[in-house]
Amino acid sequence: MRQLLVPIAALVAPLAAEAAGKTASEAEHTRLAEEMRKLAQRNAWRGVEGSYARMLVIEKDGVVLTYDDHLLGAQAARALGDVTNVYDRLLRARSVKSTPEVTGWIADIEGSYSRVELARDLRYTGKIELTVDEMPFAPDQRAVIGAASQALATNGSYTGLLPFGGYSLSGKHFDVKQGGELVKVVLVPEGKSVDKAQTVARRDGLRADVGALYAMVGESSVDDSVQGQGFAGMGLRAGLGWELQVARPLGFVAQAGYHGLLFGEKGDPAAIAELGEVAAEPVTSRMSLFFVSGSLSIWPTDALSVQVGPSWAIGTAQTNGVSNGCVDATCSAVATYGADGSDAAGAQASIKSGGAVAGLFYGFGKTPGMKKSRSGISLQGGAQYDLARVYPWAQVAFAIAPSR
Amino acid sequence: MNTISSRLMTALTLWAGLGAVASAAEVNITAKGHAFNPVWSPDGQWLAFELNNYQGSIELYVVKVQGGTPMGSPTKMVVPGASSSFSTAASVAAAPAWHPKNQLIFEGSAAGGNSRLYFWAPGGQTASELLSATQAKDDLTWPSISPDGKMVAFVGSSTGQGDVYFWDRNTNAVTQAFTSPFSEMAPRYAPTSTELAYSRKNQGGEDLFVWSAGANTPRIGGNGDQSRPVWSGTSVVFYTNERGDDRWDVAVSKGAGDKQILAKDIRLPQRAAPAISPNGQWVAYGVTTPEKADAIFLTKVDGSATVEINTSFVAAGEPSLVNAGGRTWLAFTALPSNSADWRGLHIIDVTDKVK
Repeated sequence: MRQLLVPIAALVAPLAAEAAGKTASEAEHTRLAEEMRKLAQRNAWRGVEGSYARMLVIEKDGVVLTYDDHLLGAQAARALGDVTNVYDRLLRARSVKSTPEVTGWIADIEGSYSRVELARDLRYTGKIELTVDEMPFAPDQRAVIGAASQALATNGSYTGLLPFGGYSLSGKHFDVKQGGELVKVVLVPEGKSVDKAQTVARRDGLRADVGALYAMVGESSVDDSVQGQGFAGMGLRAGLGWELQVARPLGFVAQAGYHGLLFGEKGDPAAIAELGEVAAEPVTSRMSLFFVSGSLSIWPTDALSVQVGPSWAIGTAQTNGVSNGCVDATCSAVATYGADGSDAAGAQASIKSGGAVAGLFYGFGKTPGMKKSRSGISLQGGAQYDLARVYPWAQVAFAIAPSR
Repeated sequence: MNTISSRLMTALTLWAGLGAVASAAEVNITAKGHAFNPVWSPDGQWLAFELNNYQGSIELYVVKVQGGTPMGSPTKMVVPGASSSFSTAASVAAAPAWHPKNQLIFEGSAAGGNSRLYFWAPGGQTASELLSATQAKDDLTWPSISPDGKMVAFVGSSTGQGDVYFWDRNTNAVTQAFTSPFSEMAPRYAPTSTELAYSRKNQGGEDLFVWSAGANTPRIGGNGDQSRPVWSGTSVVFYTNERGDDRWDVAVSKGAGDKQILAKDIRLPQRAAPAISPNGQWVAYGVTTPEKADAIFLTKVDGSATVEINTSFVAAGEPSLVNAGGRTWLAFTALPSNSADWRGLHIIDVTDKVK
């Protein structure tokens, strides 16, 4: 029964936590909305921007942002000179409620700006410089060009709005026009094709998952010899490896590590006593495996990935009971064993198994002290099989994965 | 006509429209205050003007104009922070100057703050500050945009007295034009965008100078103030009160030391330089003579002709001229009657008068 309760609790707990979390997030939204209004009245736009940014975080918890939230966010972005964010927030405000103020403002922006995607191939090593044929007069337009130049210098790319006009990206001329299509400019090394340009850094780095393990050792399907009884319990699984993005959004994760069921059931002393000297000490069911796995990873978003792939594991297990009543030392379980059906006799065995692993990773933020790494949680599960038993398991882990 | 010099009286004088009252379109101003300093956008589609109720605040409005007819109500320019509830000090938005591409720069001060330069584009939401305090600190006033649209000259107060600065649109750099122990004011670009006329305060009076290629050349001095220069080709048109503090004339200087009075006892505008027609041939002004206070005069800069534009108003002045749609439009402000509270803003077609 206890074996059944643990997974049920594991399933129910997140639902309850989610409900409580949503209520808390809605309360936080109310507080932030009030804070935004007060800050806006004082023209404290950096504060408004901060409140809006926090709203975007709790929006992921299911909080629905209002027209006023987005409008104040747009006003804050305007005060901070970020026209791209102004535009995006106005579009969100309009999706909630279309008002003359918002539609007029959007029309203003669309009457002066258009979207661009400026990038450089990762192999491009030349200077990245954005120049404008004629610097506009308007301060907000100059600020956007300055921000684009800064982004290009820092990240090698800029995606957002630019005022209408003629530009050059490291000598490549392009025009931003009213009503024009999205302008894409990619700098590539000499002789390389723009079509095959690789403009986004690939994930390439350490992948680790360390956390609590719930594992089961199934009953043996071999019925001609004494077999250790199946068991379940908590333990630790720790995997360390490398993840490499091979093509967007696909990657490959290779890991090796320890998979230990450490806290299984302990043998029944009374039953042991009945066996006399055969098994004088109670035995705790355990399993220790060393595994390697290779998984395909898919990143639907920069924060979320799904992995699935094969795994192999070797190790040992011991159980506090045996079945089949085998009293012959030729039994496959190299063991100290007792009477048929005993809950007292321990059995030890070596395991060589193959199986599969599947998991989800969600990264909450950057890993402190590590470049291009994201920290979060992973939920993993899988099963091993050694031709005699199935070894299913599930894990909740602290995890780090590479980011771009 | 004792307000016009005897020299001009002997010139070819056209009293076109004498006795006839030109019909004017009036800008619908609902706020209380005197309309001052109308300034046309280069394309003649927008008219900026100040509204001053003499209670500390000066507001700046812009109205769209089509075919000489104001379209709708004027839009008030809002300086960011001017509506702060944390200060009761008055705000100022004034001294509009148009960029060749019809964008507006003006002086503005949020409640109790420094006077700064602001930018606004027609149809835009609010004005934004043109230069940051890092670029140019303290008070910034007297903006003048070069005709090629690449530079803005203005007066900055960071040294404690007014100095002329340049802002380069392409480089976003602010540089001091020159250093001097005097206060400089009212810089104004020449049509070439390479010369600058300005006034310098010295020993209580203002004299005119021209900056060109890094050198400053005295243009006109004399008694009283020679102030608010504006270019007409290579000539400089300006106001002078050399006959007494309250007696202002409009004059032209064709070179260093040269001066010709074009009209006497003109009604000195609150802030504006002499209003020059787009072709540079005419200067417009109102006069203080009571019997001619309903008229706006247009005098050729070469002094060869003067035209009187009669209106049905009182104390007409603050003229501004523009060409749009093949017509020449005159904007001016005037009291509706002697007992009226506030000066209104009017637009007249003067095409036939300035041929």
